[in-house]
Amino acid sequence: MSGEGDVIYLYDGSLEGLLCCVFAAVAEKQLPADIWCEEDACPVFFDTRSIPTEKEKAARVAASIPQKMGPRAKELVANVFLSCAEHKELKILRFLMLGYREGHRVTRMLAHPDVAPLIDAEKHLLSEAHLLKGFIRFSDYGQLLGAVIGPKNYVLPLLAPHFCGRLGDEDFMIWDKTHKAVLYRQNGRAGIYGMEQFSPPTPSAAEEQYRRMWKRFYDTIAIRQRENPALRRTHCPKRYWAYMSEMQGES
Amino acid sequence: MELLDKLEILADSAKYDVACTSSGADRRGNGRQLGSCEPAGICHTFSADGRCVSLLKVLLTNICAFDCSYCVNRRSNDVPRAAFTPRELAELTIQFYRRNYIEGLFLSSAVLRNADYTMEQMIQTLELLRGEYGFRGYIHAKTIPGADPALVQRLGFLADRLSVNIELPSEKSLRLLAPDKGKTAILRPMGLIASRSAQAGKELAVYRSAPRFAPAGQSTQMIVGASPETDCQILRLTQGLYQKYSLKRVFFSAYIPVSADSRLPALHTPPPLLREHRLYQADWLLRFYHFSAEEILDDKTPDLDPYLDPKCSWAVRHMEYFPVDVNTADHSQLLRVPGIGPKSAKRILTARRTGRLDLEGLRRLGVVLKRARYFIVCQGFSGARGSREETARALLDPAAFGLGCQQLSMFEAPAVQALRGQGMPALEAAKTVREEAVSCLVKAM
Repeated sequence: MSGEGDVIYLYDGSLEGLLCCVFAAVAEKQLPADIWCEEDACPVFFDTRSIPTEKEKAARVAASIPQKMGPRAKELVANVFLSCAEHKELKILRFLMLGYREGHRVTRMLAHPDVAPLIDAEKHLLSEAHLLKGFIRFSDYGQLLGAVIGPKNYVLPLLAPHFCGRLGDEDFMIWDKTHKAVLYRQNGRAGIYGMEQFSPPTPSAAEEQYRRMWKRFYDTIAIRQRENPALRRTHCPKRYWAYMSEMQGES
Repeated sequence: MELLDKLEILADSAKYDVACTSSGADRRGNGRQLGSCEPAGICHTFSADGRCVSLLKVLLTNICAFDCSYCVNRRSNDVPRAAFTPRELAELTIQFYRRNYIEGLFLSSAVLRNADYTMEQMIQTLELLRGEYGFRGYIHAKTIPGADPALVQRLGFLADRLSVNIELPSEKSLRLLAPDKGKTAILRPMGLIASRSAQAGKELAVYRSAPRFAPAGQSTQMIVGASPETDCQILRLTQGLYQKYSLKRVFFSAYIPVSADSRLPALHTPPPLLREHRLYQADWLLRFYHFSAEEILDDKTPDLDPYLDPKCSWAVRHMEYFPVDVNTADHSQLLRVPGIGPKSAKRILTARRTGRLDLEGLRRLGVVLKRARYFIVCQGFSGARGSREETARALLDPAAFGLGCQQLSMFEAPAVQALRGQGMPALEAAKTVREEAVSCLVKAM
């Protein structure tokens, strides 16, 4: 395998599409300069090449990962693909190339420059998903519970099992404004779908009352002599505040 | 009284209880009933003081028969009083939980009439939640000192975590400041909870369906700075509690003056937040770094250094232990290096099986080289050759001086506060104290 070439691969944005890019790079024996999602492509001086998504090729690459590098590599790649890391496609490709050479030990090479960035991207994804398990605020819309989030990473697939298990038999939806997708559960069946726009209904009087009580509790629980805005921002970054009812009016 | 006002009064009375963790219980959602628990716990928001809010932390009532001088709810204090009915509180918990405001309930109470009556009210609330509402979320309940052991036992089968606050770090202080609570009233239920948990654990090993007794264990809290105990005494007590009563957590609460009382620090004394912070760091050394209280402090150095975190402080007093070779050292040796934590130690052990580690690799693993470089050798690096002064500057904790932060740090050391109190500008005060700390540390090295 020689170094980076001067071609940019374009793919359809799906994991299968990316796996076909891996297939192409292995066949060419050459890494591309970068891999872009077709939608985000803009004119550049590099040559571009569209890589078509073919189920069979994708399946061959998908099967090779756990077989050559173990189940942890499969999990890592799947997670990094959900992350918002810049050039995540190229990072995944470089990792897999290293993995095909090194085998199972690749998942232990944590200090390697082609492995460490994936570990960091995964950490960022998992920590945002963990924060949102707490920071999401549902409103009772009458028929169902609804929430809006604006995460950097595509966390809905990670939030789905958590909230499906936790919310008993209630119907609910979480709209991801960044990725224009919605996690929707009705009558015990959950799925993730595309959703461009959503505006929450006007809250009922009972809903308003619970928000008021929550805000009052939130304001009361802070100890004035210990006030520490920097510490609050460290633990709860401001970009989440817009979606948290108790943070309205805080600065 | 409106529910909104009740909530305010009873949250206000509960806020000095520091514990708000929802960790230690592992209960998956079943898709039918409301609630689940994650072993690591989940923070749902952070209050203006930067503390995690995980649970609806309220008192069932703040009407109290006791008169403990350090407590806002003491009988003789003139504050508004209120009480939830068990039904009100259960309904509120469920409504907050559905909206994902909270991870569960932290229920504590002042002593209404007597300890047993109060405990019965608490049990009634939890029975409603667990029974009628089928609630599977987290519940932390505080037992009332002096309650019948049978009631403590019933509470333990409903809650995930129980706590008994030890309140003050010595029997003498307890006698002086909390005459209604004796040492035995506190330690007896703690012992009871520990032995009941151990027994339930054994039963669980035999019968899968055996009832679980406080599966997230027990915790306690003590107030720091209201009484004269040293950090050394506090840490030894903490270690003893972990060992003897298998506590999951010991919390420290910097004393905030709530009453004018000649036996207590004067009103407007700032809470000793830096000291509290150092005690938590030392507590981590006990729980995750295999340190013993005797290693961290002794009678010659009875208090934690305000300017250094306790691990750095141990390291500079034990330079004979270093440098540690990260490519050969065992786990416990790695954990002693300032700048290497439990996670990076584990990553080092994994990564070095695939090749020798150099500085760049260590940085990628998350090692804080700013501190670690003075204590390690690795591939291509035979140790930092800085002067003692340079080392000292790298190790001092900038937070203690209020430097390197956007705003003045809440952890500012008392010496800095004192100089500012005399009218010196903040930056100058910070620099003066830091220079003193550097020369002091250089001498000690």
